[in-house]
Amino acid sequence: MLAWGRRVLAHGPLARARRRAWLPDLAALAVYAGLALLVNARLWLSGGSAATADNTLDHAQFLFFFQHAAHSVVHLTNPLFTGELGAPFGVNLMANTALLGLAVPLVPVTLTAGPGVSYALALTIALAGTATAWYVVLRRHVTRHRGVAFAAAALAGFSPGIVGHGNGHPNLAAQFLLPLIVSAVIRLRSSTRPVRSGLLLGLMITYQVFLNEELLLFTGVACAVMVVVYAISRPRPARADAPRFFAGIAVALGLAAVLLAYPIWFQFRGPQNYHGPFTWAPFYWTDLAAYPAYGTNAVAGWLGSASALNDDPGETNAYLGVPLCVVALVAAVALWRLLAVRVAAVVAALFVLLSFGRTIMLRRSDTGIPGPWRLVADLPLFDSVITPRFALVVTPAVAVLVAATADRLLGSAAPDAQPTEAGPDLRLRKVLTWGLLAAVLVPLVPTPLHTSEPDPVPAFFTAGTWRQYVGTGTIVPVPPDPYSESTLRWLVATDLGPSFVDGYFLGPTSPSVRIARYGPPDRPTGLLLGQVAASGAEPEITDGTRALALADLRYWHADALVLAPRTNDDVLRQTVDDLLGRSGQPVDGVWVWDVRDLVQ
Amino acid sequence: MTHTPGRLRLPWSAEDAAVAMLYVGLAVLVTAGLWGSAATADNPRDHAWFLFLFQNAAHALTHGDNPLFTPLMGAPDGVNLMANTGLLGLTVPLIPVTLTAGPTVSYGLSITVGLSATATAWYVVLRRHVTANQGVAAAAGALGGFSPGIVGHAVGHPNFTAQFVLPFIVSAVIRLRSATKPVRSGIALGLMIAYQILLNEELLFFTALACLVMVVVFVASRPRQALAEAKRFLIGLGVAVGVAVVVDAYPLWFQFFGPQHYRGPFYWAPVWHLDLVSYPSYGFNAIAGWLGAASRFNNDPDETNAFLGAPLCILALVAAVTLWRVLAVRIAAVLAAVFMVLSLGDKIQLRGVDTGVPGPWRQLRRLPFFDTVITSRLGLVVAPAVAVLLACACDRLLAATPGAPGAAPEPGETPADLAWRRPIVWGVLAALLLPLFPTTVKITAAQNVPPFYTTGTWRDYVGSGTIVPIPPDPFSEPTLRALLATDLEPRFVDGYFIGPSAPDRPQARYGPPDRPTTSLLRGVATSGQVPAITDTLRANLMADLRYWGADCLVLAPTNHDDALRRTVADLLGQPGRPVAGVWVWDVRALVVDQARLP
Repeated sequence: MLAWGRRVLAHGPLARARRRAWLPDLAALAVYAGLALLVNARLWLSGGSAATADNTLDHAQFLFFFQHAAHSVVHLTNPLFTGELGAPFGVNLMANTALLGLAVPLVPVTLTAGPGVSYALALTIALAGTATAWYVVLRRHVTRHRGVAFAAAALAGFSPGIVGHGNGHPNLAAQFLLPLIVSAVIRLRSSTRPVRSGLLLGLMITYQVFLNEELLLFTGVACAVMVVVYAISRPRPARADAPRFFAGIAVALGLAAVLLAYPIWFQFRGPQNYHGPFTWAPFYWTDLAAYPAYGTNAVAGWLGSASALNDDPGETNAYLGVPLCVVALVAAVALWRLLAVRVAAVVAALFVLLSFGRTIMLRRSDTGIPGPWRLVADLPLFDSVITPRFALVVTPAVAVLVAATADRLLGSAAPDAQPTEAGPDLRLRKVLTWGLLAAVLVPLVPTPLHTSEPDPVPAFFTAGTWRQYVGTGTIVPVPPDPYSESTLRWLVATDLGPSFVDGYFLGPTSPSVRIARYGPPDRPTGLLLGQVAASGAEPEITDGTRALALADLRYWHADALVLAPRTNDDVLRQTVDDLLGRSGQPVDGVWVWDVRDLVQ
Repeated sequence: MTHTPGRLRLPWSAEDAAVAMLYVGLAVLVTAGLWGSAATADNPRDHAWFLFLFQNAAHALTHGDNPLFTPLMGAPDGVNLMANTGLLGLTVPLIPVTLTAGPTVSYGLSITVGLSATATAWYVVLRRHVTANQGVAAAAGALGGFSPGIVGHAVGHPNFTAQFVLPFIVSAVIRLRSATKPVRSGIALGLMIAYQILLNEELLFFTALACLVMVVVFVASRPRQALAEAKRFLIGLGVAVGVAVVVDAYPLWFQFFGPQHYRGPFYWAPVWHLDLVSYPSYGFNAIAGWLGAASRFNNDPDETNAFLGAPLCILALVAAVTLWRVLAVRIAAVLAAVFMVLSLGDKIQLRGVDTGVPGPWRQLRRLPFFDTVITSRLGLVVAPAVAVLLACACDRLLAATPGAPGAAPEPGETPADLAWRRPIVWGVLAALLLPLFPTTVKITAAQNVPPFYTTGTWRDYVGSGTIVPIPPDPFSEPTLRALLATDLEPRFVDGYFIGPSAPDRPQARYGPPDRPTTSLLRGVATSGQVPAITDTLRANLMADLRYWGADCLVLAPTNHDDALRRTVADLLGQPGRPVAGVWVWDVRALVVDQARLP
């Protein structure tokens, strides 16, 4: 395609050539779209019914988010809040990665084809869009060479980390706005209209908040590093550009603050808000050996070289392989004088260090070396960061290093580097250079996501039978589960019909303690039933436990308890029978206890 | 291709010496743990076998015995060592080391020399035939000498790490066609072949196949030139083969017709084969494997005969296609392809699953010699072929081919840009090779030898007869260790070696032919059940003891040793004596008495 484009430039009429100059770009976009479809192939082929096998729970959550956005639009309810999960309090969706930036535009798809198709479409757009955005931005700021930009952007958009988040985290895979934000920040300093440029940046920041705030935080940190490196490297132009730059930044932040005032207020001060720290965050870290290893979702992993460290396919946030790490290191040293390389190298180094977490681990053993993350780990916002995700910033920085390297090898770095003389040796060298690039990057080509079919939803929900048992109250699944995938799938199947007392979400620990936890606050009956489900042993039911159960049912505004088939369901049924003093009814694939008369 | 008179003597420059020293350093890194008395963790038995060979060569010299044969294992028949990876090419020169520092040091030294000399040999030969660039040759030579396959064999096969003659054999074959004195060149080649026969015949066989492929590609590519040079080449080759056969006449006769010779096929050879994904993945012994990328298909650490990693495979492919017109590339590409496909064995597998595609090896492995090749070792030829491809690719990238005008800036490229291009090429080369950087061979404590052997107590129980370990084991590491501990004095009826299945059936098997008592005792050792002892079993035992010329039976601590002790006590009608960490039954009286019966 490139050769063809060049031939047209050389031989065709100039006007026609100009008209067709975008064809190679279109081809790059088409390849990215094809690659994104390949990654999502199994999701598409299932017609939206399949779940991402390596993380079915988060997949179900996003199906709920898509369904909820459609429901909000159709019924004109607040898209930032849901009463259907964690009843009677509900869930603050602004604080729960609801991905409104994709879920709202995809409402027509969700309504016509279902949230499973919306998930596949959102992920396809996310992957192809991210690679395309990097292609545009790398061409703009790093390399003029289309082929180099294509390869480097493919790395940035289809990195093992991003593809890994295809398993249930389309919000982390949708990084298409981040390169444009970085580019807008770069351009502010030379902007002739800082206010207009600032407004544009502000709009992008606003939109990114509805995609993912964690990544926006990372991008903010990366941009700050970029500005510092620039200011140190080129102090004089930096001082000259400073007024324009800061004017632009102020406008951008101002606009974003105005537009986001309500959502951000809602997130941090609205109903069911919570704050950090995430008590589970320290359990995630990046091993030092994770960068020079391969992940399970790359071709190299499929070929047998997947690292044993990559036990969570959803968090494959490093895994660049030894060859790419070496190339990045060499590029950082050899091309340090280039500003783009310097910025990318410093950003990569910093985020690698941060991603290690509080202590640096090597092959699962503690090296005893403290990670610099310790210094900021307890700051607000930072205390809810899962540190391995910092590695998501490392990959695009490495892509910049790869692009600069390839540029030097191809001799395409200099301005107007259309080779006028193409001897056989030069041509050979270029082909071999592409071979080297392929050798380093092809092992990271993504493999299709694994899928599985979720358990069928009981007819009790799909046939609408639940309406006979639930009025204005709630359903108590037996046992209530703070990581309940089934509640999410039941809600999607009923188009958010009933309210459930459990679910899978982040909320406050209790009305008075706002520290984050998964699921609703624990109730004695919930804990009791959870224990029975885990152990299979029938507990001793006393008048005390019966009284607690009644109090909990009132607290929950329960209309019915529902037990779906599961392990130990027999013991659970007997326990609930015993607690309520009445037998559950087998209805449409579940056991139901109608408790409306008890609660009132 | 410069022709210097006295082709084995090289004009060494300081850079060449530095490269060789780097290789030695790398080899010492690999063998760091091997110099003590410990055993290799991944294959302590083969390690013990080669300790025995080093010890045996020294013993043969000091006692005036034939180094090609040992009566100490598989008694009363003994073992044909020429047919058992004799390694005389290393064990004999290292006799002074073995005598003064022990066989463990000789083993460590032989691996260190093997690895570093192989890399150096590739460096020299690559410089001679492939690239004028010393750096490129040094990097490619490192791949040739420290490929995961070679380093894998460091855990127990010094005969496979010692590949240093092979590059020179290939080079000598290349040079035959243009030799001004074909007879002289043929003699030199013949001597190299004769020496390689005493190092490793399997590798010599691979090299011959590789040279055959090379000649075929050359003839197909340059038929007219080949025809013109055919006479000189064939004369040289004829002389070489003749010299090799004459020089090694006795060892070769001994191997194929001497006592305890055997024939193929090795029924176990097809078990070891490679998977299609073995090449584009990493093995345990490379740094990439240590970092977590070790392939689950590298299930036998000493047979890591592929595992070059996807990046290097991709570059090799690109180089093969791009530089196809370069003869060295064409030959290396065909060689790599042929040996890769052959190493996949009978049925080509992808990720452990049979693809249903039959491998061409299926036909070849029925032929003589082919039938004793461990299939996956064919992969050892692929790494040096890839090293040639890598060297050619780097040469072109650095624009440093012989005769090229040298690197010049591209249009629009400043001299400063050019200055950076070279380190970047080196960086990318490092990126492809560094994942294969070898790791140190893992070691473990050597198996304990009972004081019965170490303190010399055994002498009280053994006269001119043999020791029967209980149960006799055809893969016996304890017997090897006991022999080492006793400085090769007693004779054992078992051991670890390859010999004929029976006196009248020369098909190869591990260990001595089974006797009825062997099978009985191995059954007890596996099951822990004491069988009902009948008069037939007792009669069998007596016959076996006489066959073996047994002086005593020795039971060292092992699984189910109690059941074994009771079985033997019942068979012999003697309780056995606990002596110096073992149970001993002295059967000299029994065997002699029985022999006197009519």
